[in-house]
Parts: sequence; C-alpha cells; structure tokens
Amino acid sequence: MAALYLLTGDPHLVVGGFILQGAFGQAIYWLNPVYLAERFPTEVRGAASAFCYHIGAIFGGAVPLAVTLLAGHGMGLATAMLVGTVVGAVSFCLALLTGPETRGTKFAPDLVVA
Amino acid sequence: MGPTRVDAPIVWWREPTKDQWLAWVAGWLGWTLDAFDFTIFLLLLVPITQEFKVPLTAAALIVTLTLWMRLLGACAAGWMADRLGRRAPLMLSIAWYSLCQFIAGFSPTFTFLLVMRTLLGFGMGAEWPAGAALAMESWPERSRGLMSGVLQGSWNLGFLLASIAYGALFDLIGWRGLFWMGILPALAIVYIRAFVKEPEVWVECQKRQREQQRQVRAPLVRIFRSPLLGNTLSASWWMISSFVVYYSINALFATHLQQDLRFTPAQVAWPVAMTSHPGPADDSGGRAVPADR
Repeated sequence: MAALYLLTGDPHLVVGGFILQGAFGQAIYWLNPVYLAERFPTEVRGAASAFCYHIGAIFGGAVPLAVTLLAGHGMGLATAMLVGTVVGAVSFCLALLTGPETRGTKFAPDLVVA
Repeated sequence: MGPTRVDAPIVWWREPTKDQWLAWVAGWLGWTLDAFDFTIFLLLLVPITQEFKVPLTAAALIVTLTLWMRLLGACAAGWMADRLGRRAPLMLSIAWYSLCQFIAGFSPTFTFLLVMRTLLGFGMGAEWPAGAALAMESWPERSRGLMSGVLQGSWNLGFLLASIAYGALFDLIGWRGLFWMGILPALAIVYIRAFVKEPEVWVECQKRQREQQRQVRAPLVRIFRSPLLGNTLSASWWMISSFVVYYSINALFATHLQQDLRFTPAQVAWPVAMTSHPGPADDSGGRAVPADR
C-alpha cells in the first residue's frame, strides 16, 4: 500500500494513497486501550498498560530519526518510509500470535498479584 | 455504527450510565488534545528548522526525544494511577503538556525549544495510561472495543484539529502562535475535576488491598514477575510493531510533501485532514485479529 504512493512524484497519487492507507491501515491502533486494559488485572492495569504502550513509543520515537538518517544516505525519504512500514507490519503479525484473546473480559476488583 | 444484537436488551449507547460517559469523555478529551499539541509540531518542522537554521535531522531528533520521554511520564502516571486513582494523573498530565507547549512558543533558541518539547513528552506519556484506564474501566464490556477505537482513533481528531489550525492560521500567527494555542487543552482539567469519578472497579480493588493488607506498592516491578512477565513482554512487542508502522509514515509525511514535492501549507493540510478520523473497532470480531479489517 505504502509503496504505491511513496515512490511516485505525482501529487494526486501521493495524496490518494495516503488517504486510503489512513482509512484502513490505522485499524491496528484502535484496540490499544481496550486490549492492554483487558490483558492486565486492576492492581497493575495503569502501570502495565503505561509500560507496554510507551516502550512502543520509544521504538516509534527512533523511527523518524532512523528514517531521516536512511533518507540522508541516498535512499530518499519515500523509500526509507516504506522500509519502516514493511518491517513494522510483519513484526506486528508475529507479535499478535503470542498474545491472548480477551474479548468478553469483565474487569474485576479481585486481588490477582497482590 | 455500533454492534446490534438480537439478544441485546438495550442499544449499546444507552447502556453506559451518565458517570460512565463522563469518565470516557475525560479520557477522550485528554487524548485528543494531547494529539493536537503533539502533531501541530510535525506540521511545523520545516518553518522551525528555517527560523533556527538547523537541519531537518535536528528537528526530527525533537520528535524522537519527545516520544522517548513519554515512557518516563507514563511510568510515573501508571504508578500514580494504580496507587492514587486514575483522575489525578490525568489532570496533572494535561496541565503539564499544555504548559510546556505554551512555553515552547516563546523559545529564543533551538535548544530551548528542544528542552520544552522533550519535557512535553513527559506529560504526553502520563496522559495515556491514566486516560485509557479511566475510560476503559468505566465503560461496559459489550461496547468497550468500539469505544476503545473511538478513543484511540481520536488521536487523529487531534491531528485533524492541528492540521485545520495549521492550514487556517499559520500565515496569520506563525508557528509560535500555533504553539501558544496549545494552552487551551488545560480547560479540560476543570471538567474532570468537576464531573468525573473514579471507576468503581478501581475503588473496590483499593479497598480490598487495604483491608487484606496486600497492597501492590510497586506495580511497575510486579509486571516483570510471574505470572505477568510473558504477558507484559508479548504486549510490549505488539505495541512496538504498531508504533514502527505508524511513525514510519506519519512522522515525516508532511515533511515529505513540503520538501520533496513542494506542497504549500494548504495542500499539505488536506490529505492529512482526510485521514484524520476517529475509527470504530470491532466488538464482534475479537481483539486479537483486528488487522484484517
């Protein structure tokens, strides 16, 4: 998807591709609050979701830097952005395989780890 | 838009009580306005590098440092949220990032700007765990996935507001003016203080911890011990991948348009705005397979 519009200089294709990806590709983000909240017991829910989410942000934070550095070494901004997207997407699918299904979780005040 | 089921006694949006709505809105406001303050900077990278005569990599470094600081802010707020309740860290964090953004608007040097934006990351990070825990714990189970999507997707609503502000006001007030606007989210604190209650499940859990003398004093340490360690690592890996996908495109897309393709502010604003919609998540499909949508 990203390849279609990042590698072209045609402004209509660039804009159209970005909008399409925005519409469908960002679905992977929507479940962050509920999935992280449902995976952990109430006693540690704040700390656990805080840590998992933001360790992600640490790596996310390195991405713009890595992309501009790659881009500076002759790759071009568009190709560098594409490399990041593909690596991330493959890793995402693998990570999901290691996680539980939590649909139907009812939050309980039980002491699980105390 | 919501899931409708034959066996459902009432429609999903009538199910939550008034308090549950108020709590969700608090988390939603904190997050959307957080997005506004963060993303406006992404749209202003080029004019800022021009004013301070620094290379683009230096400005990208600010984005990186901001995101890294979020971990510290989040850990502090996560601890507060588990020990003291979800409301206090939410209000503190909103105050924090609003003030940092406002002060950054006065930056005399690039270093000052870098420091203020890095500090802003602390407040940003603190907002998410407090707001997400408050909103998700308060909301009934049936439509929680959907409202998770609207909450998280509202990052884009913040980005949308930022791009509208950029498109409409940049020529009038410049990047400093847009930074000063970042103080407005602080108004949300008044709302939270006045209307929002702690989630019942958290209150009850605290009560039991006290009564049984089994307080979890260091929740952040506990998640790295059995039985939670595997869960913590798996969830972290999942989040890392999400962020790599998202920021590979979104952090520098506006820059790509301005620098490589020579778009004007108005031309940059509209594709960014078009993709900025809050999205629904699926309650019927399960949590672990959202990516097939």
